[in-house]
Amino acid sequence: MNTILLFTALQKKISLRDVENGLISNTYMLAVVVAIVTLALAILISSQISYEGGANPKDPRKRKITFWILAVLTPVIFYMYNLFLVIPNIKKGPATAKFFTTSAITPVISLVTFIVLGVILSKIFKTKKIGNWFNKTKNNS
Amino acid sequence: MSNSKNFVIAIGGTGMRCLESFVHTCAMGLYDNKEFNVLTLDTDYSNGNKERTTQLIDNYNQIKSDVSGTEGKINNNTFFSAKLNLFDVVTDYNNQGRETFSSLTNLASESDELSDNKILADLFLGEAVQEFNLAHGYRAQTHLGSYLMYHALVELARKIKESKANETEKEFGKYLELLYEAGADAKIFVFGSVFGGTGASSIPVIPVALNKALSVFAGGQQAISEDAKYGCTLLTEYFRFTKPKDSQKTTKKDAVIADSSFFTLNSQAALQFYDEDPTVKSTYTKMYHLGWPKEFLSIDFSKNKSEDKTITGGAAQKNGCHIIELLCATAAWDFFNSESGLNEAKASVLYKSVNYKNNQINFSFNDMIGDAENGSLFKEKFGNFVGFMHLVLTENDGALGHDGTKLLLNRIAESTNDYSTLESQYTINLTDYFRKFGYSIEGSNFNAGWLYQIRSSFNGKLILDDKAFTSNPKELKKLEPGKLFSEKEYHWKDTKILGDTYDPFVKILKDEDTKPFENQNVETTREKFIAHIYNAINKSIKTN
Repeated sequence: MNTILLFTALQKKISLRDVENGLISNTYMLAVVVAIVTLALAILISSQISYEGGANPKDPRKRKITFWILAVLTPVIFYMYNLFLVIPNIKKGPATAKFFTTSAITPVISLVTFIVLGVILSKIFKTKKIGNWFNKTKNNS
Repeated sequence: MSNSKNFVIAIGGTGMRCLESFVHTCAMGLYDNKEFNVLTLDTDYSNGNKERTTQLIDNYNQIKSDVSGTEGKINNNTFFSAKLNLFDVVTDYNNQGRETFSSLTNLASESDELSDNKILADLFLGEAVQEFNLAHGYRAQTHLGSYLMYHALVELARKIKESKANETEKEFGKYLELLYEAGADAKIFVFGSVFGGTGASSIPVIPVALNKALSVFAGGQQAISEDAKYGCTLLTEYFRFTKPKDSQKTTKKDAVIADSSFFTLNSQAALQFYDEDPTVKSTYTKMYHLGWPKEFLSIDFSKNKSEDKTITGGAAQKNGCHIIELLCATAAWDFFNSESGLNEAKASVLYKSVNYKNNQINFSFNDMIGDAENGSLFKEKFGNFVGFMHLVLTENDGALGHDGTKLLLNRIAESTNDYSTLESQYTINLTDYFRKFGYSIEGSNFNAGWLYQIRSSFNGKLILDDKAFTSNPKELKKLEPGKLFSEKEYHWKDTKILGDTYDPFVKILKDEDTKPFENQNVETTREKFIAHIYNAINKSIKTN
């Protein structure tokens, strides 16, 4: 996994061969894993937001906002991770160039994964709190 | 047509308020699988208490009936489970020639001062009593009232028989038919006071008057079964009002005005009468004696009203409710649910006492319809319904003018489309019912509904924790609908950290297994929605 590569890279800069043979595919996998983890965090936070009474309950909106904040943060975090923790440990030149496309695409992958899984889960569990992520908020009294 | 054997008759202003309490106990679900034919009987079309109660029953029936107008059914184990059929009778004393005893009996037109009729009337009734305006009731003149109420019912039956009655008056004929059809299974309960006018006049004569009216209506071919069971409240004085000034009594029509300072004396005389009168003792099966301690100040119906004279009746007579009226409603519960003592030849007088000290009465759920199972039943029904009220009015701002029921419905709609056909008028009606039951807030004005009125009618505790009856806006904002009892074991499930009961309630509300059960016997979408809420509240209770 990338973590192992990272530790390895700390001792020795990652070569073009390492980038081609493992880092790219691992980074794609990590993008999906990060999306799943942040989605789990979104589920946890959304579930902790209590149902509110009153004419204008804000809880569905809070859950929506939670989802979209984490949706935005997921690619940003992942891009930062690539930028500050992975790229500096790749040998400059062709290896860095080779990884550049991956570092640009994987945040998008994490974002898409986050949103697609979010939509699926929200529709499956539409009666639960995460159902609010893609439900229309009812016009109240 | 109804095939119910249960009959409730409310007479006069106090009877109407007792009926109001009875309707709320029906809404709580205390009368599962029961149907009642309710007769409101008054001398005054415009009486405020009567108007309030009939509107409440209309509201109750709107909540149960379907959008097509199909009446709701008898339900089981839910709120609003009883079916109520309302019949309205008003003795008409407003038309010319019917305003006073003398004009009604044609005495006024008799020229011979020594006619038999005049002498007989003078023997029993003073001149002032013969001449006062009857439109606002019998003004505590029970000797006159009993005579006139008997006459009014028989006269009405005759009008129906002779096809001279209007559509409203014909309702009484239907009620008589139902009484006849119920036969020996008929159970008839009468709400009224013994110290005032209309109710006190009517309670002693109502069984014989109804029987005579049925006989007239059916051309002498029918009678109420001799085995029909009658019950009533013997409610002694518990309120007072402004003493009439002499200046108010200057005209003939107002020469007699009820004076609440005589209510104690009236009560004493009435109880003596009920104890001795053979007709009353043989017609009634159970009489529930209810009174209010002398040490407690009776409720002042003139308080906070700028009355320069005594209110004799009319729209202005819209008095607040009192805990004793709820106790009258619980007496009715005992009558309709207990078979004990129903086959006695002589009336039994029933009562129970409540402990009080330091000028406080603390009512527990065991003080209402009995202890053990009955106490638990009352606790569950009362607590759950007040919880439902706070869900609508407090948690969802129903008291502030929003449609709190619609907001609850929106939550259920997140999980099911079962109630998508419920129209907004229905949710408005249910929210409105809760405003009548609980409270409403307009601007800075807190308007106490039935529950808050009975709570404030005495010092002490009413089943729930005091905070369940708060009118303080800040406290209401913090109020948890699931923590109304002082005893924690009756609380609803809560979130562990914040102790919030609304969040777990909504989760349960959205559960598939809170949908109505077959044994709840709910048919209309409206009834199903109410049963759904009932199930969710029941499931929310920690110990359930």
